[in-house]
Formats: sequence, C-alpha cells, structure tokens
Amino acid sequence: MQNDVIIKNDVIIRVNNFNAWYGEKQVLKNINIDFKRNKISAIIGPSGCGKSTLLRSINRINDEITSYKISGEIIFENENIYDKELDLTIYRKRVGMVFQKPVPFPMSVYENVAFGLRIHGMKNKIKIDNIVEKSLKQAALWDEVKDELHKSAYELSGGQQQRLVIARAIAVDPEVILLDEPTSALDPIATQRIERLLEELVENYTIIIVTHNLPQAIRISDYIYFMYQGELIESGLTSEIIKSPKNQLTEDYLNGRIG
Amino acid sequence: MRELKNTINTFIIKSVALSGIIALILIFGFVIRESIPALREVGMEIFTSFDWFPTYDPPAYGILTMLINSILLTIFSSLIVIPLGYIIAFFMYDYAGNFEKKMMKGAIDLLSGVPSVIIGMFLIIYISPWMLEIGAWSSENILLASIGLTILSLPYTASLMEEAMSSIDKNLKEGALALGTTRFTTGFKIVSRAALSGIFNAIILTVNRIIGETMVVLMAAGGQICFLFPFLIP
Repeated sequence: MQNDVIIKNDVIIRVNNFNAWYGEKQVLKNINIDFKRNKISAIIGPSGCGKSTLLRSINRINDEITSYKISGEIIFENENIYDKELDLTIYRKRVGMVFQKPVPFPMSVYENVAFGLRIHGMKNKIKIDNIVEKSLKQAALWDEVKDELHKSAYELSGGQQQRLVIARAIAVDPEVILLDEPTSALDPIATQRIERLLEELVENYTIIIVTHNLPQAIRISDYIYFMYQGELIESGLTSEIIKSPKNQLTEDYLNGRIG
Repeated sequence: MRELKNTINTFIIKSVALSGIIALILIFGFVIRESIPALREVGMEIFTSFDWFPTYDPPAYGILTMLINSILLTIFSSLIVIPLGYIIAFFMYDYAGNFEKKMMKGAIDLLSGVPSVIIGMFLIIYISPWMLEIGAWSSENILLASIGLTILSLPYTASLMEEAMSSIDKNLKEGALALGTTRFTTGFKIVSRAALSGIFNAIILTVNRIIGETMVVLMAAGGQICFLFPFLIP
C-alpha cells in the first residue's frame, strides 16, 4: 500500500492508451508512459516516429492543428489535461515548452522574460526584476546580457536566443519543462551549455526532452523512451537500455542500423 | 562563359530597373516644368486662398478648400477603415475556423473586385435617401463619401493585414501559447508586434488608395467646391 503511494507520487505525467491522428494518418499508437518527477526523460527515435507529436500533445500545443485528433488520456497531477474544464493558460504555465527553433518575442531581452510574468498577473516591478535576473542566471545567460537587457532579443546569437527562450520558460516557475530538440540548431559549445543547464535545472523541475541526438540522450537523461513508427518500443533507465536493450529494434537504433 | 552570362543578366536587370526610375523622374520633371507658367501666373494664392473660381474675371485659383477636404476625408475614412480592417484581419488570423476563413476570404476577394462606380451607384440609390431622412442637407455629402471609401478599401486593408500576420513564423505563436498566453494576447501583443512592419505597410497602402480614389468621392460627395467641415453638408 505504502509502496503504491510512493510510486504514484513519483509519476508526474502519465500517458494512458494515447492515440493521435493527423487527418486519417495515425501517428501515435497506444502510448503508455509514466514520466518521473525531477528526472530527465529523453524520448528518442528516428524521424517521423511521433516523438515530437507526443511532446506537443503534452503541452496541448497541437490543438492548433485542425486535422489533429486524439483518443486516450494524459494525466498531469491527477488531472486529465484533455478535460474540457481544464484552464489551458494555467496548465501551460505549469507545463512549459521550448521548441526546436528559438523564436524570441519581438521585444527586448528583459521584456521577453518579463512577458510571461506579466500575463500571469504579476505587477510588482521589483519582483519582476528579481525573477528576470534569477531566470537569466539559471539559464546561464545573465553574464552575457546583463549590460544590455534592453536591446532587442533578435540581436542575440542562436545559442543565446535558445537560452533566452529557456529563461522565459522557467521564469513563470513551471513544474515540467518540455524540450523539443532544443539543441539541433546550435553549435557544439552552445549545446554543451544547454545540456549542463538542463542537468542543473532537473533538481527543481521535471524535464522531458525529445532529441534526435542519441549521444546527447545518453549523456543527460535518466530515462529513455524509444519510439518507432508511432509506437513505444522500449523504455527504462538509460544505463540499462544502453547496456542491454531487450528489443531488436532498439538495439538496431542504438547501433545506428536504423534511424 | 558563366561569368559572361552573369554579367549580361545583371546588365539587363539593372537597365530595366533603371529605365523605370528614369521614366518616373521624367514624368515628375515634366509635370513640374509644365506647371511653372501657371504657378507663376497664380503665385502663392493657390495655397493660401479658399476661392476657386477659374472661370470668373479675374479668376481665382485657391485650391485650399479641395486640399483640406481631401485631407479631412482621408483622415476620417482611415479612422474607420484601419481599426475595422485590423479587427477583421485579427479574427481571420486567429479565431476563424477553416470554413469561415475560406468564406471570408472569398467574400473579401469578391468585394475588392467591385468597381468603384458600382459602389458610388449603390451609395446614391440606397444610402443617400436614408441620409436625407436623418437630416442631411443634401443627398451628396462627405459622410457618404467616407462610407463609400470604407466599403471600397476595407476588404483590401483586411486582406493585406491578414497576410502580414500570417507571414509571421508559426513558432512565435506557439512559443507564446506554450507559455500560457491567451489567444487574444498572443495575437494582439506578440504576433501583431512582429507583423508591425507589414501592418504599417497595409496602412500606407490603404491611405494611398483612399487619397487616390476619385470616382466614389465624386459620385457621393458631388463636385461642389465648398468647405465641408460639418460632415453632413455637401
């Protein structure tokens, strides 16, 4: 009984018999995943396996696509996120998302981070200043921009922009951060900085990352979920999966024979 | 060989572009040169006088009335068209479903193809009698012209603004939504701001179109030259 409670507490997002379609094409087939709290979970798999779709479904950003349909449920803290009663703005504050292409808002660096705070009702200038500074520090960007907080965010480099977007996401103090291939457009040094950042952030947040980059998944993740053609093939602790994959497909992918 | 081709192509493109610019300068120069004698005859009176009696003796050539009327009409119509156009564009961009969007686009394209004579006729036949009823002094007035200009340029403005907003990277919208921003705030504060240059462009083109439109104004406001400040006077 007690064991049961601990396991439940451990899981922050539970994906239950989840199916998804774009028009007629089924892209996710009966997915069941328990994402663990305060861990880095990496979803890996070849292109078109549905990993981004799964991540986008968790933030419900796929609602924007009109042909998109789902069945099944995703439970976040005992609440089905596809429930009609759910307040999407509050939910998305708790489960933030960072996309592959860093797209800062068309405003200054400072305003980019402060924007999220303002829309969630914070008015106190000093408080906002503090959180902006804290978030930029957490995202390892503060030292590079502290003297020019009010210049346009578009003047930053690609790596800086991605860190700014991460700072923007953590400023509203989410519980889960979803990252959709956050480093695929970045150079190795920027990638390394972001990986280090994620390892620091995981103490306070739950991180779910979709990545194309297998070595990266192995480097930073605690759990790996391998997907192939819309199905979850194998999941488990990263160290175990790397050492002894149970499924032939997983082994092929890890060895570079598919993907 | 390839070098040569490139040089030739560059030359052709440059000369075509240049000929356009030269033509423009020549037209401008011609207009100014031809108007110099007239301007010399009239002097500064043209910009300082309200009297336009070219057939009298001595004639009076003050275009100030027309100038002010044009400006007033433009400002008044723009004030209606631009916010309305923006709201329509905003709705189409963010709230309209696929079907609604298709219908609206079709309607807008059709409307923007309507010749201005038709709109002028419509105003005279349907709106103008109604205006007399509510107390206008004449069947032709500046408010009528404003309505005509609104009908004429609204589709154009809305579709230009919608295009400006649609051309913004979808990632930007998703990024804002993923942060928990509401649909309205995303469209209004983020997408519109990113599309600002396109929206400005739409505004300038709209104002251009309103200034340049003669047919509707002539039919709806009449050809009289008098000072039309209260909107219901001809």
